[in-house]
Amino acid sequence: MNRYARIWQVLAIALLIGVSALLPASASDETRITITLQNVGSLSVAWLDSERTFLVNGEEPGVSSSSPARATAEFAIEIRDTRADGERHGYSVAIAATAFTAIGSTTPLAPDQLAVMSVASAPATVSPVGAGQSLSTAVTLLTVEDEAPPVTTTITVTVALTIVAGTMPGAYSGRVTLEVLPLQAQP
Amino acid sequence: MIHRSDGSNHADSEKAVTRGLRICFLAIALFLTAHHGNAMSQDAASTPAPESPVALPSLLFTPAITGEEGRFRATLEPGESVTFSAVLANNGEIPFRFVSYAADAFSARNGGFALRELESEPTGPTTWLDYPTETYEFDPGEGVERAFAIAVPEGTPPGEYVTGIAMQTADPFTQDEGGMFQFEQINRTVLGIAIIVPGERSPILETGTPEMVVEGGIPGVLIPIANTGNSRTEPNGQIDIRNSSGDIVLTGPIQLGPIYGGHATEIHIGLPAPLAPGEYSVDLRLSDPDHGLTLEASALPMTVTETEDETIASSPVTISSATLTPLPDARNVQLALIEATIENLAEPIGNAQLTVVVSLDGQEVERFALSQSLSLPNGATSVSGRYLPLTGWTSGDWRFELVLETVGSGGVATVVDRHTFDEVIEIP
Repeated sequence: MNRYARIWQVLAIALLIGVSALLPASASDETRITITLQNVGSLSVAWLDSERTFLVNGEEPGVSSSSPARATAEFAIEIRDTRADGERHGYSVAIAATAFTAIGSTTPLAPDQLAVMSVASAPATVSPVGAGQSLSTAVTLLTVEDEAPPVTTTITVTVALTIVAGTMPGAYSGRVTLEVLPLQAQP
Repeated sequence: MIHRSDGSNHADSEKAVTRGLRICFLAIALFLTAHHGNAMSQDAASTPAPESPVALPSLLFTPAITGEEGRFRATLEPGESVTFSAVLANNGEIPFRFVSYAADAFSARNGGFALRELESEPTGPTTWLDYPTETYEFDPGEGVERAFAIAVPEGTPPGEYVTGIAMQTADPFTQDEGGMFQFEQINRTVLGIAIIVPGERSPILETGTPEMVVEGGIPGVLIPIANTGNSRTEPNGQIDIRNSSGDIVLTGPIQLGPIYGGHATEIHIGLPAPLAPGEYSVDLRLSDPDHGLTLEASALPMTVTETEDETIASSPVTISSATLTPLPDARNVQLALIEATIENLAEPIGNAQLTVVVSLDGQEVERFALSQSLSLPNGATSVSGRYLPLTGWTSGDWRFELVLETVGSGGVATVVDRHTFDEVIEIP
């Protein structure tokens, strides 16, 4: 079906879309309208509110100057896909990290000290691919192909952090980005 | 609410009627976009899934025109330009601030399209975009249609050029969970842009020197790879790594995502345990039939030194014991009973295989799979099997070796332990 046929097909449906406000263009030529999406289905991928504390054998890391430690934390990511059959294009989900730094510390924890250890609870219809990869670069957690069954689930990603010997005690903070990349976005 | 801001190179002179039509089509585009699901979005009206404990941002980011399949693509001669439009909207349930920007594309490790971060300096084709960084604050349902121009400079050589634009939460989502490490969490959605400058295009692959690395406590083999050509390639192939005795210690298929022209990246293969210190050679064969590309790199040298990372178990999976018993007895051999115990001191392994390498008078004659698709939970696992030569017990000295391999999700098999039997079956 060509683009124009599709647009005309959808035009009737578009009447269902509420255009509740149409304001004149502002000085910067901005036009505002309200869009209401109705029963069209969507894809949502987001962090889930959950515990994300790095622990060593269930305990806070006890860093010493002479011995390293390996701590793990679990991240929950919620995926909700309500798109219709025939309209589910593929996508991948990835995470990336920056270095962890602490005020007064001269030993930042680099992203390559973080690694994805496992991706749990992913349905059999997706391909978890990130296990065993360090976060020195963005790590693809899973890929859902075109027309695959809809995925609505919560996956758990276990991330390990290697705390090298000599790491100064302190409150470290870093940034983790959850990224959604439609497969079609690969130009 | 939706508001539209045009790129500086394309001042809008449309009248109100035209604007209304555009808005109508934008509404259609938004409808189709959500229908196609080309961006992160939430369906508040019909989603039956349980609600999240906290309201989280949901981004809608897509080409304004349908049929673009989530990305922009244009063919431009040097000196030409084109204008595209993207829709950015808050498709969630609570107000949020978003930032949108252009950034350099790069080929991810093992191939694939990826985009630099917000703070990165634009270079190359990203500088052809008129897409300055802007921050938006949208209530639920609000958005913007943003036009932007791409202008290819005069003198640009032929090739495929890639770049991209992104939309992400402007304010990190942070929780105070206590503990030594705190995260700032960002959501981001990316749109890729491909610009074709007409002319001869072809990929060229070159490899660097392999090395064993330990990242995040995980050992792996890293092979630099660069596409010095001017178009993408997506090669597949095979890798074999041999120790100084010529024995294969790692073998398996390689399947890479796109590596774009002018990009350098790495092939990374995770290992269940570090390779023993020593000298290795790497054979790498890659091909991309769609682009007539073949790469054969043989005997690439790789030196492995002792790892100093104490968090890594040097050999978490071992053949702790093994026996070889001729049946019914050594004077009248009909079968060889092989029994082994495998000890896994680390996380459970879902896929391993135990192979018997059989030699007759010093020459390898057969590799017999004692157990395939072997699951190794933490602790001890017993494996046994009976061996009968395909050719029968011919005259000579029969010797046996067990090879234990773990098989990664990509099919790469890594030798993690070997056991050579002292017993010899002598057939007169």
